[in-house]
Formats: sequence, structure tokens, C-alpha cells
Amino acid sequence: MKNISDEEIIKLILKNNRKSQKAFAVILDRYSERLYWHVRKIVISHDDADDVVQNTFIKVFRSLHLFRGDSRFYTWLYRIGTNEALSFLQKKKQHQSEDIDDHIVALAGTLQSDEYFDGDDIQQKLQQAIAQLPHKQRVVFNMKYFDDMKYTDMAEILETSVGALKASYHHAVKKIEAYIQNEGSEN
Amino acid sequence: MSTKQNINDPHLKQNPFAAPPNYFEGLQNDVLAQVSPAKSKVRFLNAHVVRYAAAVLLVAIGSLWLFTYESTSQQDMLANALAVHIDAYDVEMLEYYAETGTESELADEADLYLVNSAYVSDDVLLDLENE
Repeated sequence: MKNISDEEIIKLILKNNRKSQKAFAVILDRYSERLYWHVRKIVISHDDADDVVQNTFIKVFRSLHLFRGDSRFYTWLYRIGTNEALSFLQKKKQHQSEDIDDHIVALAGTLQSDEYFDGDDIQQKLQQAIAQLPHKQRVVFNMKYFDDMKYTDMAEILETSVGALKASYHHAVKKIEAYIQNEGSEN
Repeated sequence: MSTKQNINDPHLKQNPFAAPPNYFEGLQNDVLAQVSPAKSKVRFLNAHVVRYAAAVLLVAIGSLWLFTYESTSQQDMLANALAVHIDAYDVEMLEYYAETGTESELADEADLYLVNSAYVSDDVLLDLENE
């Protein structure tokens, strides 16, 4: 099934027979790792990313019949994953009565002691700088900076115009450069 | 004096996060286990079996109740009819005894047993043989 397109695999899954499980396993094999890293950069913690990714795939499986093929499957999957991650942070905010962005700043501050963070000092500083951004701008920055995603794909996923995304990324870069510069001069 | 950090440095663009060993294999298995149709199918089948069993049980209980009710009614009617008949017989006999001034020859339960079991004493048999 490795050479079959996503759309063909979805048709197999929707037949709802013995092969459906195998077909969905191919989707998981193709996208679980990529989606995990995308979500992980949004929620920071491994355990939270694990919850969000599992929920995303379960939702995708249960609502595959609603996928009309207007957009590519992977942009549809990323849209659901991004929305799940942001909703997850929103729920955390309600439980912990703090702002989403404050929560992320606090998490980024603990990365040095995180078992599943391999970055050095400058990489940690970059994560702290990214954490200062408003959460939607943070998502845009991560997708462009780390994944080098095309603006057209990002526009499909985030349902925004390419122009707005370019402006958002430009502002994010400026803020991050200023943050790192200030941190460097303080130390 | 600080040096300006270039954020276009390829080192900075590397993914700094890590995942537990074999995490992705486990993740795929966990997701597949949660969307497994076997679970929902069994639940679906069970729901039907329970519904059918409940319906059959309900019909069976209803039928049994009706049958028992009818049987009981028939038995009650028969018992009532017999009781009325026996009472009528007793009344008739009492009237007969009152008119004739005699008493029943079946004076007690011992006599009644002898008649019902067709008991014949040895004395009677001996008399019969001698005749």
C-alpha cells in the first residue's frame, strides 16, 4: 500500500471491512511522526502532545466520511491536529486559570529539566523566545521556521490568506530576534 | 560585548525535542486499538442480543402468566362446582335423615375407610366359605 495515494487509502478505510484497519495503519505510518512534532511544538510537553495526537487520529478516523476532498488529506489532518492542540491549551487555561501564552512561557522555562528536550542553551533560548509570541503567531512561526512549509499549504491548514501568513511570520521573526538580542545583552 | 545571534543558523532550525524510545510504534498501536471495529461490533451485537433476549423473555413471561391465569381459573371453577355439588348432596342427605329418623350407616372415618378399600374381614370370608 506504500505507493497508494492518501485518497485511495481513505476509500479503502471507508469500505469498513477487514482491510480498513490495515489501511488506517498506513495513514498512521505516514503521518503520526510528522503530526506529533507539529503538535509537540505547540503544546511543548510530550505527555500533552501524546494526548492531542491520539485524539486527533481518533477524530480523523471517525469523521473520515466527512472529508470531501476539497483540500488535500494532509492539510485536513494538520488542521484538525492544530485545532486540537489549541483547544487543549484553551482547556488547560480554564483549569489552571492562567493565560494560554503564560502557560507556554512557564513550560518553555522548564525545558532544561525536560527529559525529552535535547536542545542546547541557544536552542532553549529560541524556544523561550517563541513562547513569548501570541499562540497563533507561534504556530505560523513553527510551521515556516522548523518545517519549511509552503505558505499555500499553511493557508489551507490555518484557513488564512498567504499575505496574512507572510506578515505574521515577518512580525514573529522580528520579535524573536529582539528577544534573543535582549537576553544576550543581559547575560 | 554580545554577538548578534543569527536565527537563520541551520543548527537552530533543528528539532530540539525528543520522544521516548519506540514511542511512535506504541502510538500507532494505541490509536489502532482505540479505533478497532471489533470493540464497537461486539458492543453492537451484544446490544441486539440483549434486545432480542429481553423481547423473548417478555413474551414468555406474558404467555406463562396468561396460561397460569386461565388454568387457575378453570381449576377454581371446577373446585367451586364440586363444592356446590357436595354441599347439595349433604343437604339432601340431612333432609332424608331428618324425614326418616335414621342415621348414616357410615358413622365414622373407620367405617368409611373399610367401605372405600373394599375391606372384608376374615370372619366374613369364613362365613362365605361355609355357606
